[in-house]
Amino acid sequence: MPLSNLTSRWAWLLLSLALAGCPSDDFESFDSGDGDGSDGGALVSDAARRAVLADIGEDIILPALQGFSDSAAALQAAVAAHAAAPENATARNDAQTAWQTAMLDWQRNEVLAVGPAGRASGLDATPGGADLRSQIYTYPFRTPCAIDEAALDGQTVDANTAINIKGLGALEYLLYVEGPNADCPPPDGSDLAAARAAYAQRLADFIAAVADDLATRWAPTGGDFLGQWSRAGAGSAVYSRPQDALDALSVALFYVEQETKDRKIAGPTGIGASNVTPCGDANCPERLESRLSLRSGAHIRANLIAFRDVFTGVADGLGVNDLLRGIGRDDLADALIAELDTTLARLDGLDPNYDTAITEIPSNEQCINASANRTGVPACALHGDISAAMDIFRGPIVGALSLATPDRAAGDND
Amino acid sequence: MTLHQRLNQPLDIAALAVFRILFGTLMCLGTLRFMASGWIELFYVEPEFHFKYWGFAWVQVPGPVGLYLLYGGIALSAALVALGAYYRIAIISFWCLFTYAELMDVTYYLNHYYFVSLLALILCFLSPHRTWSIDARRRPAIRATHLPAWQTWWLRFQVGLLYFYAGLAKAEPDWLLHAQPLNIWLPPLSGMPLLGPLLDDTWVHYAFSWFAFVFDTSIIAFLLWRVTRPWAFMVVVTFHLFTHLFFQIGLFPFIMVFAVLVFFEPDWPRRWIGAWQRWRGRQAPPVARPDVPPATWRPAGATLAVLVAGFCLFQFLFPLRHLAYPGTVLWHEQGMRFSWRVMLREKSGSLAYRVRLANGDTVIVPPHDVLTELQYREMAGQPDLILQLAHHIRDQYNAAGHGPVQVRADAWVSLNGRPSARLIDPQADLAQVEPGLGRADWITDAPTTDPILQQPLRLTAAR
Repeated sequence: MPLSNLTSRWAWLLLSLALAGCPSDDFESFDSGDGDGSDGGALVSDAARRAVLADIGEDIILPALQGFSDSAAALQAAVAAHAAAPENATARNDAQTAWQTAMLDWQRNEVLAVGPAGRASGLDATPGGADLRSQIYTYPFRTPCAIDEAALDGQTVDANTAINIKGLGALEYLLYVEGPNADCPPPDGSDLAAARAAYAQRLADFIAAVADDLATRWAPTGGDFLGQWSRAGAGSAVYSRPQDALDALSVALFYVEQETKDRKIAGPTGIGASNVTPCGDANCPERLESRLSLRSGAHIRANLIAFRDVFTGVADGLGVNDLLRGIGRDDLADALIAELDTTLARLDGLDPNYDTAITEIPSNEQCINASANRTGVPACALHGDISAAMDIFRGPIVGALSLATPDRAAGDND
Repeated sequence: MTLHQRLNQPLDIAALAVFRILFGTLMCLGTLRFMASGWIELFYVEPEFHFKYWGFAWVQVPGPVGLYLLYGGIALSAALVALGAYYRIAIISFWCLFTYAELMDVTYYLNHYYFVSLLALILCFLSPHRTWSIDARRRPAIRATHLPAWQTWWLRFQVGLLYFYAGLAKAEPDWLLHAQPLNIWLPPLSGMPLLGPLLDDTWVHYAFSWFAFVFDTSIIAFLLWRVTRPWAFMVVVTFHLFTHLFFQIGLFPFIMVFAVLVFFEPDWPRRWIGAWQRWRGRQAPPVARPDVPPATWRPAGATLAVLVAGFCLFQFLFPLRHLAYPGTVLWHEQGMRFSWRVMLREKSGSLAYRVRLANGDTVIVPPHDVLTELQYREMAGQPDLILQLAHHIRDQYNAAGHGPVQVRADAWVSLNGRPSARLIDPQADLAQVEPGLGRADWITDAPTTDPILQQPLRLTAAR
């Protein structure tokens, strides 16, 4: 056979492959509405990915945003009552309770920063990102003296307000700290309590507005970002492929690796991480996320539950684990769920709570070993548990599903 | 015709001049892209620890200003190469600066960066600036219409070697018998138009694996034969178009498409220009081909010939060094780099070090303490980098007065979808292991299980 004919055949083979890839009647034809594919009643390929996305969006992300919007509105009302009577202990307690509820709801959303909540620019920019997360919660940035200064100055709160003096973190300081800050005592004659309460009200008003905006952007009756999410690769203007949405979700889920594990656990326990340098002491309670309200453990739990829900799905809906089971990798799905449950059980078993457990770490060395051996000092063993879970996610699971990781946009491969 | 005459017969300079222009332009744009993407900060400024190439520990990462000067110098020298301005100085500068930048941290090793460095080194010895360049315009004395054939064949050799070894590396079970790692990488791309819906199917993963193997091992033969060359070039373009669409491999597809142009007749650009001018009703000036120079022995020429022959022999043998190491190169990675083993593995791992202090206590040191996420993901599956970090940890603890310490690694790695297995012997004291070229008995044997073949995604439990 002449070689020229052979190369022609290669060209024909390529052309045939390309044509064979065109959508045909016997592929992706079950639900004609949006091009979903099915195979004998089962969803396949991108239709399956879209189904998972739709369930996660409808069952987890949208309810989480709406839940936070409601609790932010309740927080706004409670803080307004507190601002009206700054010396009233009951009003302050009510505001603190409302803050706890709102913060717990938001911690769920911390793990779900896809779409408008996510970053609009930078290496970890997410499709549809509008940076709204940083308008609501700015952890780990908080500067108490600057907050007091803003309160005493009567500073307004808007999107341009510095991130170290706004958000739910600043609210915790304003609602839980009574009396002057020793590092920056107020000028003589100033009414710090009233100023703080008034600033808290402005913060709560702004948070409630952003929360409502965020929920509205996702709601089918509003901006319908849920539709963009659920129709990824099938008419979505934001996600040209379902994998793009899954990649965004994967990067968002890395919150548990980088923030929950490293910043919220490795930091206070003194274990340290690449983005959290060791504090040099046996423990670092000053690094606890919510050390004023003693709610750090509850917030870690909310992060983990949100992660687990996305992975398993809720209310009989699909989750990321179904993508693994759908390609025959039940082993990975089961392994991660088991590790997450172990982590949650450890967290629930801390007595009295995580914030106190941090102060009981005897030495950095014992803590590191407890983390590695997953036994011993409870708060440190918790780090070992969550590390084991995240090692499964960041390695085999991300690999098996070819999911994106933070900074993955950086550099090339070959 | 003797070998000397063959290697020195005059070939039209046009193809090499075009290659020079394309190479310089691509490198300039690629470097600007690197800088604009914020990768200088991410790769070199943020990390507090950098992995060194064996024998090149002296290559240090400069500060931020120095880094921007370095990359600015790379972009500038590449632009000068493209323009043919102060060519010899520009290409030598480019090679030095680019190679220095690539030697700063092993973590970011890429085969195509190595290829660029080699092409630049070869270009240092060639003269593609003697036409269509600022130098030729400025200095009529250097103008030339032809160059000795060895200049073209040297480039062809290097390009051909890359394809040949990239194909040879695919002749292994994971790639051909288990379609890995394409079986992992392709399904998520099924949302792409045209081919996308096929990418979930396992047979497509096998087809692509075998096609890539046949393509890499045979394309040079088809490019060398004039009859098949145009078709082969179309296949090259198509192949690299797909790799560009499928994978985040940056400049690699463009480099390869430009590089295979050296396999065309050396006067192909002049023919195109002639055709263009005829179409516009003009007549292209004829280019006279000089006579083959007589075979004369000159010390400089002989030295260069020996150098080029030595370079080619080294390039031919060096990728085979993995044969000296028993086991699977994808696992132990001895002989992995500089061997054109492109896109062959999906490796993920977790790693922690156990440091036994002189007082008998043991401390666990996670690599996150000193590495960025990006560095950690890359190094967790590479034994020599695990060893390098172990030494860094050893030195830190010894300096802090805890020594002499022992350092062991708990490294679990999944290769091409296999269940995770230990990569490093957990009993090996890495603090005592010296890096080198010898067989590393502290690396475990590769898992003997086959990779898990992931099935096409199918959900039966949809609500």
